[in-house]
Amino acid sequence: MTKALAGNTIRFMLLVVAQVFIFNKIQPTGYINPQVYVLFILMLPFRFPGFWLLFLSFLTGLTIDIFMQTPGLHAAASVFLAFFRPGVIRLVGKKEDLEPNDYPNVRDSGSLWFFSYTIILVALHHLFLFYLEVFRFSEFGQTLLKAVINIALSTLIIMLIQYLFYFRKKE
Amino acid sequence: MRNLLAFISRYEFFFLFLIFLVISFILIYNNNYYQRSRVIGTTNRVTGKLNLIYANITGYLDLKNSNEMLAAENARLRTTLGNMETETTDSLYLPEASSLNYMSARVISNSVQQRNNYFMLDKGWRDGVRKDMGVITADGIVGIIIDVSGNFSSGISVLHKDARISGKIKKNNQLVNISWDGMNYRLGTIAHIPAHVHLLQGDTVITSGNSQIFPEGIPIGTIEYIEDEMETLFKQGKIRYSLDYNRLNYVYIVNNPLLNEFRTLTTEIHD
Repeated sequence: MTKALAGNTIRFMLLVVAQVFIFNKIQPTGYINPQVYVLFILMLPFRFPGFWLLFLSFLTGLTIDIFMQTPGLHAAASVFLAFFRPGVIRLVGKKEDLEPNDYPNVRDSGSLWFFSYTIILVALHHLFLFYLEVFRFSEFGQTLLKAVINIALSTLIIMLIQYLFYFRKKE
Repeated sequence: MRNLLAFISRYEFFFLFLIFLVISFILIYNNNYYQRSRVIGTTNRVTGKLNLIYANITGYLDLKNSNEMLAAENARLRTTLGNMETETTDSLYLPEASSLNYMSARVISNSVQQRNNYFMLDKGWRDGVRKDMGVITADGIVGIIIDVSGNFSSGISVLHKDARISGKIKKNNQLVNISWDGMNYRLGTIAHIPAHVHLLQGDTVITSGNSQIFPEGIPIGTIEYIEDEMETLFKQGKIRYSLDYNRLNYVYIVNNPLLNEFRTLTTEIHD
């Protein structure tokens, strides 16, 4: 339990720092802005109480908001993602024999499972985020393009992080 | 009542979700750029320090001191130059009216790829920064200060969906409003230009000074292209910003001591 708590805390801090100081700084055009911090919410344990899932997602989003000076924006999108997480886990197919501390990752869940799980939730998060950010229908097309580009990019980066840090440990 | 409670506990997750979503929306709603909450003002202190550390790591150590000195000197020169110009060219003037003050600051956090971009500077109210001051460089305009803490301040960038910069065409003084459409951070949008106004690619757009936030005559950009608006007698087009907002470093904060007087007067007129 303590190990899981420590792991999640370190993951939270690393992802926030990476998001704020790396992924928000790459800007060859106005379109590229992957939101990798959602990986923290994706990797919370399967059997996580509903309130804490929503609360921690809200907190994660709010932390990003404080750095980006957009109060509420990322918080709303993260809560939106958290709300759909249990449903998406059911949709993609949940394993029966779960330990209390099991969490979604490439090593335990398998590449295809984790990829489907990630891309669906990232897509929901990004579409909600970018449309909420613009809040105008006049920019519908370009917002969609921005969302699609970043869904692909965020998913790619999340998968890379998974293979780099979690895949090797397979015994 | 019991049925209601049973209903709520059955859909507990959904109701919790709604509560958190509503809190988020309240935060969004209450934090428009013109009415920001105190919360952000205080968090500025923390994020400001982190941003400062980041800026210090990424900035070139050797260039830092000399740059700062040059920027401060430039600010001083600009203030004196501004005063002198009015004295020599205008026979009628108010002594304070001309005295825009400039102070130099460093951009410690900045973005261009969001739909609404903000920046943070390493000067706060202890240095005399106040809300609504303009931020410029010698080559263009950067944005407007909206939030000030002790040692840091943050502002909305020109690259913001609510940014409306009052500019004019340098060669014929025609007023234009410059906004940003969220696509390319090098290009701004101008619209509703009367058809009779003669514009060419490459024409310079400068600040009009109408808002009293930016001094008059600071370059904003040059016209990239002009086309006819659909079904109206107006023209629209794009301007290429003279500043590369992705490479901001040292900037000037403009203090107009008469801004409040100007604001009071315009509100009185509207009332």
